[in-house]
Amino acid sequence: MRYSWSAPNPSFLERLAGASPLFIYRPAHFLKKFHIDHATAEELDANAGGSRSWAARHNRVDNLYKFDNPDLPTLQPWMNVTRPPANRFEAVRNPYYHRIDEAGRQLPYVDRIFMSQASAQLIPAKAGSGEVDLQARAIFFNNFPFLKQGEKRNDYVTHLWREAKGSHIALYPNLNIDDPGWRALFRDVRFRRALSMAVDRSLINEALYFGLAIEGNNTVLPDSPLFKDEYQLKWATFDPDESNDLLDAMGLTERNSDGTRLMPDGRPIEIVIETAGESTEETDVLQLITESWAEIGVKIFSKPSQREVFRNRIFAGQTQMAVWTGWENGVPTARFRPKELAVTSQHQYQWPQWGQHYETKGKSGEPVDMPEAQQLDALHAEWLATRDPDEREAIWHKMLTIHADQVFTIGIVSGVMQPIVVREGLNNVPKEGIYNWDPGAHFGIYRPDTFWFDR
Amino acid sequence: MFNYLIQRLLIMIPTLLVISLLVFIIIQLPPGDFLSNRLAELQSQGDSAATERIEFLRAQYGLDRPFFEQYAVWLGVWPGPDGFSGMLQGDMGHSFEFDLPVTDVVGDRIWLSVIVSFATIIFTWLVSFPIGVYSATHQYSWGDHSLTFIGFLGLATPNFLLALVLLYLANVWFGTEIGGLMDDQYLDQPWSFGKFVSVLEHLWVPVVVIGTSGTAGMIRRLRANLLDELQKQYVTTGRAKGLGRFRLLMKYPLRMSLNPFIADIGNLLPQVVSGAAIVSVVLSLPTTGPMLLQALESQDQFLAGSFLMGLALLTVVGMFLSDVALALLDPRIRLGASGTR
Amino acid sequence: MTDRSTENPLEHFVSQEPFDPYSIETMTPEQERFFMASQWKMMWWKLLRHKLAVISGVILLVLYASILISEFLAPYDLNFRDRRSIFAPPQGIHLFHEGKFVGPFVYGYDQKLNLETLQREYTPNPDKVYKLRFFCRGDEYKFWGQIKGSFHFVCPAEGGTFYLLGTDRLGRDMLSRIIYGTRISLTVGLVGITISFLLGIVLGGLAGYYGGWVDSLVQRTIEIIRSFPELPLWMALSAALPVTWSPILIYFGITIILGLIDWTGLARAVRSKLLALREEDFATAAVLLGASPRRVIGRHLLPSFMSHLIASATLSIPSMILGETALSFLGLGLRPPITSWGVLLNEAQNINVVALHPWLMIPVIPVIITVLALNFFGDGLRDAADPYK
Repeated sequence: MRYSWSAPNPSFLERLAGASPLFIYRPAHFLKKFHIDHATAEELDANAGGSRSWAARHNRVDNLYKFDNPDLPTLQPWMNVTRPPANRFEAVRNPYYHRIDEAGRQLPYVDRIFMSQASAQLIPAKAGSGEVDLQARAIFFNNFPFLKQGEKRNDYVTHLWREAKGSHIALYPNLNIDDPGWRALFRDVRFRRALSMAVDRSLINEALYFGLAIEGNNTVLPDSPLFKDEYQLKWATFDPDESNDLLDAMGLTERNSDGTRLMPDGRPIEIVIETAGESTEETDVLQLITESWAEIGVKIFSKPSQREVFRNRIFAGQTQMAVWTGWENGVPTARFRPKELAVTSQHQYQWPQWGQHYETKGKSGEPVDMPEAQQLDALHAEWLATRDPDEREAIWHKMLTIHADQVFTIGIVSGVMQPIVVREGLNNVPKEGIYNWDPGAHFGIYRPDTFWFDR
Repeated sequence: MFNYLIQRLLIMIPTLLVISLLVFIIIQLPPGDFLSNRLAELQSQGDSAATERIEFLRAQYGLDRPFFEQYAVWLGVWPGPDGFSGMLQGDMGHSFEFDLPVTDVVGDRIWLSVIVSFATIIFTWLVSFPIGVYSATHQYSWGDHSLTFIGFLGLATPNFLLALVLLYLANVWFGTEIGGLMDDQYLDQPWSFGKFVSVLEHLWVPVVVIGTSGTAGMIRRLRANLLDELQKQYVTTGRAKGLGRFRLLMKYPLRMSLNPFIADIGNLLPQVVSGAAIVSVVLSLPTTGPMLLQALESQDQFLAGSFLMGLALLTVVGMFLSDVALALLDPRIRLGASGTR
Repeated sequence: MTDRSTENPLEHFVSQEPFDPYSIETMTPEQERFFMASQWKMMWWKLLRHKLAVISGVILLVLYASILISEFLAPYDLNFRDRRSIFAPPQGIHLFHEGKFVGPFVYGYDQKLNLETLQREYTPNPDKVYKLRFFCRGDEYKFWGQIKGSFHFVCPAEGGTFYLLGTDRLGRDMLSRIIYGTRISLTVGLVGITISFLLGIVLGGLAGYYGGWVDSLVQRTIEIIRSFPELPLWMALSAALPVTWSPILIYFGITIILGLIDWTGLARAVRSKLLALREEDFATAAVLLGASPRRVIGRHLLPSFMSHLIASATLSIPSMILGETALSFLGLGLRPPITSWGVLLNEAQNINVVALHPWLMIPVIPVIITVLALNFFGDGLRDAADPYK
């Protein structure tokens, strides 16, 4: 089978191997009877199942990713046998799974998997009382002491894996804000550097993550072959004096009676930071940052809202600063497309309008008008065009340097530990690892089809 | 009386219409809609093939139409993309979140909701009745004060915290599985003795938590009514004629003071749904409360809208029935006085 | 006239005192107080007889009065944070140290980081004796946000700690947070009650007085609002609050929302009472004398059951307080950095707290006390206002 394209498509392999992969195939024998090109009208009617059109019906039954159709053949190790809706799904071994172990035995080892739905708030409690065999979802670092407490009594162990996001929590100053006063401030790199250096990362690490997280920028993690110390630490050490110097050098020497610095047009520098309001962690981090930024004369108001409202405001360019996670992929190699480093999507909250411009191919949003960002785009285009792995690596390093230098986003801590609850006797689950969605598929890269119970 | 009933029945229709409009407005109030939020979510995860799928759904369910047209289609008075299919035709719509017809999603949960509500109401009665009666007959004694105190304690404690604490204690003391209405292994299984026992094990926490917050109101009402009745002449006459205390209490005043409870049944439904919703969320019960909450948050409009309309219908009908029952019971109302009290 | 009582005991006795024609109508001072007492005075006396209501009333008075001097009462400032005392358990107050009377003091903590369970462990250290100081200078604060001050009722010893109710996950003193939270929690009900009161009286009054289609309309509206479960109403109205509002405005917005949903009960009571009372003679007399409907309702009808209304209003405040905690739980209400009991309880709403740091659930106690006190006080008011006993 040969695939070719008219323009370079370097992400093809990456997407095929992704956590939510590109399915370039479908089970033909099963689906042909739902397709207008391959089935007679009577067959379509017989299989319509209450749908109003053949396309709707086909769409409903061909979801290889969602596993919502137990009749649909699959290539995965287990197949779902519970028809939705249900609160508890059972997956049994797929007798046609194509992998075998070194002894020639067909994988997977585990015969059945049960997945129950429960309220996210209760899952740590359920895990801590021994109701699960393998759990990572909805469990957070601060649940670890509770989980550790129940280990002996409830017959499980708790491993700690590392998150592989570029940053666990990052601040996104909106470079596309429509207010000219704020735009000038945020576009000035000295301002961003000053803000970044006034964040006491070690305090946050100590208070919330028991000192176990990695303090630094929103960038690649030490596990990545592209890692360099300067990417992580440049402009990320806690130095309020230097921050004050930078802000003074910018000319922001006027202060009001509260001690807050004033912008050139006289308004006090009071930044409204918007959050999706979903975790107390964000609130706590902002509380600590409020105190340390007060020392350099910058005041913060934190504004929680619902996730959709939060997003829409960002896309519309109405927010000043937003809080979110950092890069999704913190452990890239040079083979990965550097799409999170360039302007590619409106979901990059530091430049949503430029991202929109790229996504809609110019129909809405604003074109990139900052030289450093344009450089990033140029490098991205170069990466897409080249085939030489060394050149790709060089391009990555150039882009990482620009990010470390320009502080487009203010990363706080990364590599936060993720507790993994594993039943005593479930083997082949690594003690240490990374916990990430893409790449990683949570447990996927550690091959769950090789997990086995020794009792 | 007959006229009165007909009048009430006729008024129900515009009432329901207004409620339906309010429900629809309320659901549409937050900006955006389910599909655009889902789209944004998928895009943020890097899934760009989702766009076509979502646009297809949008056209199919008519979400690109203006507000009033969507409302009319939902009601069933205006043809949608596939002809007339709204509530008047019995089509409750499609739930985007679950990707199923609304009736499927609501169907299972309704029965469990009924079980929990029923058990809660019985519990509330069992607790508040004796306390209310004792309180009225021994007014201002220390027994009165302490029992009332206990009865009100349930009202005063925030439900969500109490639920979580009881959940934890049930697990530590009795080994009950955390959350849900039954152990995981019985989920979606046919009924058996084991499943029944498991449900009982899990049921007592929500019943106690929700029930105790209802006892206070009932105690208060029962006590007030009983006190009023006990002042009346016929009670003194009965005592003077030698009727035993207890017998006297049971035979006359108690029956009179039960009046307001019948009147209250109409109100019970929305209260139980709301009060139970928060506790159900905390305890992760597969009832209608969390489903409604989830639907409202994610703007799953047909699920939320149709369910609320169903609830409103039941409530309005319930109120009507309780008015009828009251009219039958209380001759003063039947013979005309001043409408309902 | 002549004193012949000793000779004839059955003789008619006439008093020598001069004749006082008003003797029947004069009262002794006690009688005067009792019979000339106004309606409110009688209510007051009846209330005093209800012991539970009196105790509750005193408790409420103390709580509301504490709002005025929160800064003074709290040992620490609201934003105070101690990075070395995160999740510290409560420190008990002792009086005797090694057999000697020292005065109120607490033992300081030794903190150890347990790297296996990733927990902080605190052991009281008998060598660290931190005597409490009273009426002292402690953390700086801005009294009511305006006047700078640092005078506290009680402070920890110099360089010491005083965490009577423990600390939370950022090392903030729980006692101080609860004291400051009282301000918000106790007043959130008042604004809502005012709105609910006004709406209830106006709409219920109109319905009861005019009858006819006004009555029908109001009744249908009440029915519609009551047949709605509260949850969607809360969510929709909260979603309608603009994001750009400051926390204080959101706070008022929420109280208004709570008030808008709550007025129906009061309106029904007003309506039924008015329906009965408007047939009374005194109302008819007022109408015949030419009083406008507003005057008849406001000056004649309402005051006759105002006491009942006040009792109902008092009984609605607890539902506002609990409503605020429920809204916080749903994420719709007040959120940090505002501190209220609802916010504190919401922060305590997870399994880690229940299992490992139960002292973070202590804010539930002031909620319970306040709600119970309001209920009993309201019950007492209602009993006192009832003229038939």
